[in-house]
Amino acid sequence: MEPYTYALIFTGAMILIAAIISSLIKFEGGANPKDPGRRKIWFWIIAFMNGVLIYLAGTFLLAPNPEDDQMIFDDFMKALPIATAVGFLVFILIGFILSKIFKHGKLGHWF
Amino acid sequence: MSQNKLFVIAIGGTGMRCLESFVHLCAIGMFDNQEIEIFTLDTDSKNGNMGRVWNLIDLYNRVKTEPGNKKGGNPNADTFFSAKLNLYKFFTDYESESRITYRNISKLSDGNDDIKRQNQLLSDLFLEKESVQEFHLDHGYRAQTHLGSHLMYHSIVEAARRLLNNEAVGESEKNLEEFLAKLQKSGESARVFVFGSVFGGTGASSIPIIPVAFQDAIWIRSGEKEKLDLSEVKFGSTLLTEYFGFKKPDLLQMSVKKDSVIADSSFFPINSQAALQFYQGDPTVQSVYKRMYHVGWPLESKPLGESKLNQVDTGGSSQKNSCHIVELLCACAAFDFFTSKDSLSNEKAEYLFRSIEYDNGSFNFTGNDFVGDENKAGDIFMNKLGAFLSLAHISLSRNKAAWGDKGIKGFLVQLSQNKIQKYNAISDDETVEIDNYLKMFAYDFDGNKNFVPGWIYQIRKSAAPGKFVFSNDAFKENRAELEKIDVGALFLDQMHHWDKGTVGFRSGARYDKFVSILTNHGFPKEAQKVNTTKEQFLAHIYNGITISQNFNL
Repeated sequence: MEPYTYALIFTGAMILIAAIISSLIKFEGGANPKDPGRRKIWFWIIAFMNGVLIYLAGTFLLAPNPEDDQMIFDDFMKALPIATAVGFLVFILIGFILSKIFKHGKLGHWF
Repeated sequence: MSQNKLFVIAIGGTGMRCLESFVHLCAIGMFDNQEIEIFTLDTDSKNGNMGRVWNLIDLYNRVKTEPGNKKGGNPNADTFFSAKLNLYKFFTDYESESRITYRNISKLSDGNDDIKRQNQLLSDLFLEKESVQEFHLDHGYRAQTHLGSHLMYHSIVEAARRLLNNEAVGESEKNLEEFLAKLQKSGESARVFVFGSVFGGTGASSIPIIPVAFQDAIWIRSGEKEKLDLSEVKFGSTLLTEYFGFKKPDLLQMSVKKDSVIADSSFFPINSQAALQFYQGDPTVQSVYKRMYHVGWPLESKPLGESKLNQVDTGGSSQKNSCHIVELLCACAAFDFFTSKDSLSNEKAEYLFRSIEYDNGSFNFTGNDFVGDENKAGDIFMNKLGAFLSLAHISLSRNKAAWGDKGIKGFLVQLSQNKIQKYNAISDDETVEIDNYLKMFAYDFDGNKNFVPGWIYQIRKSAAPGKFVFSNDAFKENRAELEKIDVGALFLDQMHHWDKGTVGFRSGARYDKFVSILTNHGFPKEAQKVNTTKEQFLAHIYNGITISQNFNL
């Protein structure tokens, strides 16, 4: 699988996880609720985890076997850091868009 | 009801508690688009029940007032605090030595011997000499209704004379004048509802004479130029029979002359019976009142709260009695009277009553039992009462206003965090006023961390163990339980529990779903006639909770 395709699919899954975690964090009572901050923190934790996991999974699980074809392996490994960065940026971009679409809801706390 | 001009008169301790229920009906939003003139009448200027309802109305008006705008706000529709309330306070002056007893007011000791003898004989004909003529009037008429009717009529007419003669008058007389002017001006569009008991003292004394006393006061005040046409103004009242008792007065307390007459609650059933016979037979009452609502409590009368005194509490600032469900029923009778589409042009009083399901020694109340089912009134009532109770628990329990935190402020912060920032202009003081109203409505914790039941908790307690619209879980009293209360699951009927949404398996799901509804769908509409920021905020919450409660309105 192309590292870019794999990174985008992975990013989509991580966005979904971030959204589920945000939804599961309850609205708190009192005059100084902390729940929006917790949702924001979880969004950024998952954003960084997304980048790290894309790179690690790409390296150890998805990279083609160099013994089969060294050139394909080299191309994959060359593209993987760029795909990781793209995945990280796309995560933030989708997060930003979702945050603006659902600005009155829990996802709105991401930005 | 848009054409009618509404007037409420509350008389005596019981009348004040009925008014308290009426004000809470206004707060939940039962009187849309109305400006209501409220007249409180008592003999006891320091009465605790009266002080409590004055505070309540004052708080209501502060909640409705936006800084810099008209005091008391404007009438709105389909929202909390929708009616505008104008309060007029009148009390008879029995505090100075010359007015403290019937004997002193009537000047039985004045004049020559012949006049004194004749006055005394005339008084003795109607009023027991050693007790009724001598007891102190500043704590009311103490179930002496014959004396009370005479003196209450006298005090109103006397105030009219003082106003006519431009004598130095106090706020009380000015309030009477203002109220009567509005009543006179409203003419045939006026609907006047009188709250008071028929078994006690002040209310029972005043209900029969109030319409005629007002008519005569207007006639006197205007220099005999204006007359209130009692065939045009529609008067209604409750015939509220005994529903509470208190300790029997002991001989030691009664041995003091000023307390030589003390109301004895063991006579309340007999008083009620005599009063009903009177109302049935008196032609003036029959012709002046258009509707009279029978309200009673056939179960054992409960004591009126815990008295710390060894003696009977005859009145004064310490007399702050718990509220009872029959007072809410009286307030609902006023709702029926005010919203009736009947022209009320009947020449003789109509007597109305409604019965409630009785099972296993207690009553089971539904919304329809309070306001009927015409035009979905029962559902509307339950929706509004439930919405206000939910708001109270959001502020007091969830946001911890009952323990010193800022409940409504927390709600505003939450809206702001959800990118609804149009209400940020509401000041902290204004949110605290809403919190304080909700404390009077639901509950509070005092400085010693003791639970203090508010109006709806007291109402629920008076109906226990019978059912009262909401589940028992809606009336928790323990802090730990209150902090965990599910504000979206207060009704007995689970159909009106708030939706849990997609992540409904966990606690707090209903509230989360409610916030989602509130922030996406609850915005005020033009028909609600809300203009100020605070009005819009209250209407927004009302809409969010109403959608969540899922009534078919």
